[in-house]
Amino acid sequence: MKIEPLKGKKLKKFFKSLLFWIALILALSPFLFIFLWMVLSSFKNQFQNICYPPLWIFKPTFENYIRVFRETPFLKYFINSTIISGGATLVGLLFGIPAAYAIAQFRRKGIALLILILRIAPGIMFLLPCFILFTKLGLIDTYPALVFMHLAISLPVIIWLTIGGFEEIPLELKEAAYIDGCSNFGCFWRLELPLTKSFITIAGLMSFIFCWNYFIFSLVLSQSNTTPLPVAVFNFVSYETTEWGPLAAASILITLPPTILMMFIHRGFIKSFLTAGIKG
Amino acid sequence: MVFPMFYTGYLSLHRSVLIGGLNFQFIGLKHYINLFTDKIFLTSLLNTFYFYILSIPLHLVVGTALALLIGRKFKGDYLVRGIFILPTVTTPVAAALIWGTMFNPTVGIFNYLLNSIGLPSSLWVAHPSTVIPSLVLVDSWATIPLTTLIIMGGLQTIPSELIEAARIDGASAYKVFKHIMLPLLRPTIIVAVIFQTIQIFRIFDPAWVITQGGPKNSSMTLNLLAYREAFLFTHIGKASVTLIVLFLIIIVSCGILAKFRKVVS
Repeated sequence: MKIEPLKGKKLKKFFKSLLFWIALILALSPFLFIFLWMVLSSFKNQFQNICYPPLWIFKPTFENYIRVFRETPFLKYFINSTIISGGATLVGLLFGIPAAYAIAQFRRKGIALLILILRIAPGIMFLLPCFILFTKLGLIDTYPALVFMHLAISLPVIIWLTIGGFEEIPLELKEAAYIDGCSNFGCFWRLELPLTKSFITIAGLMSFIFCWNYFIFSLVLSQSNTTPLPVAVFNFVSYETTEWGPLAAASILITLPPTILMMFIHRGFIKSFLTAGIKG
Repeated sequence: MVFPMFYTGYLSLHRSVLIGGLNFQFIGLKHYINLFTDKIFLTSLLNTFYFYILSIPLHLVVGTALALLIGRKFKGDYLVRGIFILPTVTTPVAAALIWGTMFNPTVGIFNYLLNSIGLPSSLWVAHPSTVIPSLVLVDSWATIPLTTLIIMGGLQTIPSELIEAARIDGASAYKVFKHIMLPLLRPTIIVAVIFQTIQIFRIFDPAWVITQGGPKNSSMTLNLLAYREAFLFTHIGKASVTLIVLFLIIIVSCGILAKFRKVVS
């Protein structure tokens, strides 16, 4: 007889979790619907894409993907994007890690605040002076100019995330290292750098993603030689009769690297934003 | 990195002359004075605030609701959150292009969905009165996940004993939310608002890709205007002034919000 109430409770629990999952799926579906439509469009031919009412079930075609590679130098754009984002991230790490270390070590809150204010400024504010400078130096449409410009994106991300890492190292550990005769640099190189490795990895990957996605700098500073993917696909729309199929296929290919990287670091990414609100 | 900002200030006092390369002529505060009578500038200023006023409440309501839902502990919670934040890292230009096709008034999927639940079609980004709300939707799709994450972080700091105790005392779920969770969440929510404030005032990619400020400048914002003046018309002085105004608006709003955060916490 005692089993009866337990059964009711279990059933209630089951319905509660079922209700929760339905609510979850309903809440997330607007966010995922865009992706679904992107994927569906990329497998439709031009006729299927503009027919009304929109098709949900159709015979998929890979023609759009083939056309993206055959009709545009897609691989070149891809390499351009990788050089610019990768370059900006590597240089950003080179300068950003020591800067973050110095800010965390010597508690220079003022400098940290300054970097934050710079982060708030509209991107064009940095772009405009650099554009004039690069024009005078003849550096428009070169990789160094674009890498330099994207430091405005990569540096703040890297510095902010690695400061958090350096600040998490317990003071006693550092003191112990100093007592054992470690120099300031030795302490940084042998103790703090290895301990913040996970922070640095996440900072680097996030910086890569942000640079990859950033549009305005390349829109202005790159021409035919250094065009990265977002600018290429934007031009694709402006100058050719827009066909939705290849457009969707190109969009998916562009957004694939950041989303794949994200799947690797989403725990770290989520954590860094979970604490953002508390630290302020 | 500080240099560019001062240089922008310097540029704002000059007029660009395109004779023999790019040169600058000093004209003092003339650009600043011209702002007050510049129709496009004033429209852009209003539009920038219109974006803001539409976006923030949407973020507050949807962001908090989603945080309450996704912030729970359940099987596969991190995976669900990982999928949920994908819009944030999707290349904005790529996403904007897809949104653009979905907004299509004749064959777009959005009008089809509206019609299928019995609502009339909308012109979306093709009409001056609906273009900004439509663009806010595009932006929100990409940024609400971040707001949700930040608010979720605040939720996790609320001790669960507090909520359990209130529930045992007979408080309804709504009352617990209103009287216990919301007051404790306030500082975190303000941080999320600051993040979105910075983001929405500077909105560029979706707006430039989908509408380029149109139709008839009805979605022109300060950031778009600055871009257009500087790089399409080479009015560098005017663009600098616009940028400085935009920067001041962002700094002041963030300052007010930060002060407000100190007051409530």
